[in-house]
Amino acid sequence: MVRITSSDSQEFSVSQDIACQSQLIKNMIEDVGDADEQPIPLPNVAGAILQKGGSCFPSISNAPKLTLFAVIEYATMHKDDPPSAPETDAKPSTSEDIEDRDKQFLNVDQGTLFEIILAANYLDMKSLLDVGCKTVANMIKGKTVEEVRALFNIVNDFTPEEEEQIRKENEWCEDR
Amino acid sequence: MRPSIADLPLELVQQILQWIHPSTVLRYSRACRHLHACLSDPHFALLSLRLHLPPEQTTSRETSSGSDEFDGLWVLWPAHFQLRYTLLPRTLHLKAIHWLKPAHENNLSHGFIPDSIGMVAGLAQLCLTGFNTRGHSLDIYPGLFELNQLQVLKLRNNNIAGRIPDALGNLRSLVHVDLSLNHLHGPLPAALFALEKLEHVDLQSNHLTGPINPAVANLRHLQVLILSQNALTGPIPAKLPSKLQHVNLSQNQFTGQIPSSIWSLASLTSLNLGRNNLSGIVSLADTQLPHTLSTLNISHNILQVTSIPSAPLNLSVFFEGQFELDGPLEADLVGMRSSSSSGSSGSNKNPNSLLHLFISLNPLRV
Repeated sequence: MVRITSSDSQEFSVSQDIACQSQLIKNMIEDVGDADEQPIPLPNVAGAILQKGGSCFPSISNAPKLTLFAVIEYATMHKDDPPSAPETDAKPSTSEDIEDRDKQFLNVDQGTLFEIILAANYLDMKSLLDVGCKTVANMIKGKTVEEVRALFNIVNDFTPEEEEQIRKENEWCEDR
Repeated sequence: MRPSIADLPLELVQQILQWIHPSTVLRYSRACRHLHACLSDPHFALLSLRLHLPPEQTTSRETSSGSDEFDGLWVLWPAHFQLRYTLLPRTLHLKAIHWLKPAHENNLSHGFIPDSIGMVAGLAQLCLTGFNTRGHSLDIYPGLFELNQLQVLKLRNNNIAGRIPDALGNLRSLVHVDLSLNHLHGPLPAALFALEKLEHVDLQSNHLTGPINPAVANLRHLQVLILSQNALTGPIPAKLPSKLQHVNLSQNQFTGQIPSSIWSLASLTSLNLGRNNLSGIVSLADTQLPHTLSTLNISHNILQVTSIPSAPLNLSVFFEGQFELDGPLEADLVGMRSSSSSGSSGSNKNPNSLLHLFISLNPLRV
């Protein structure tokens, strides 16, 4: 078992094969040597116990913080996956390639989804990061700029002149 | 407050947006400054192309024929995408580009020649037809004039305006240049006449003005010279390249006489000087015409034609204007017509090969 502590001093014990899906933790274990001796601190990851899909996630202003709860759940779900094939040019991946169980797992509110992406990035969990990014991309695909702004609460911080200039430059791809 | 995608660090926004196809993703550039920064970063172009270009399309190839989706995007993308794409083996090693404008592409914000084309150093043929460049000058494509291996440049019917740039002279390997059916104006640049390898020049249907530089004689390999439907002036140069086969200077404002030296072009098969302001006396006696000449048009000038070639087999003569015919010339013309219509073999000792003669609307005199 590996002991992990979050930034708010919550300690989790997880088996090594689950913990080591995080490249960051794997490297730390290799550096520290015997993982049993001392817990591994993850100062950027908050451990608040939260229900996935709940509404009480910390604001992203505290990012990058995320409970380990969801991430550990994902890692547990994928602990028996075959090691990911080395990057080959075999077949281009698309954002549609998401396993059903991952779709289920990521069927959460936007705030949670972004927290998961931030944590996956911090913990260096490539497969979770990919699937999280694909999920957000699928929410954007096919939408107009105005729809995307509304969906993600994006504030247009351009002057009208600046926006018009950029719109003209990219006019060719507005109606595709 | 709900978190926003715009609060994510740049590299994470890029990892999200990379999954959206490079034919549409750049529309989100105007969403906010942060997304604009993410999409304008050269590294994003690399991520996007790496992800979306099918592996079979990453290998080297020699020809781009225009139906390729990514080649279509090459001219539409902003410079940082264009550059990344140009550096791919599939693009960097191109020898020939032959594109017809895809029917659905109407908005060309970035012109029709990729900025980075100059890096495709081995490009020998660049043929783009039917693009609407919105009347831009060729000056806005500096990369084009870095292609010193380019042998064939065909930019027919692209709504190109402005002058023919002097930088054309950088294309030292040019054999064939076709800028026809555009809106080019101004003079024929001197640089054009320094391209010694030229065999084929077609600048028809533009608004070019001024004279033909006498330096045209330096184009020793020139076989085809088409300058018709412009507003060129001055005389026809007395010295023309000796290998010329096909010359069309019609529908301009050339003045002066037809230089007699033109009849000594030993390979001339087609000569069109119609619809100019050429004047003087011209004799079309057999001995004067190159034996290779099959089509001759001197109609719609103010020439005085004093003699007509004797009628060869199958010659068709075109004269629809009002003529004052008298004497032997009338007989010649009638004779030619009857020869043409009867198709009889007759005793034709005429060594010339003339098949089509256009002389209408010139005053005819003996």
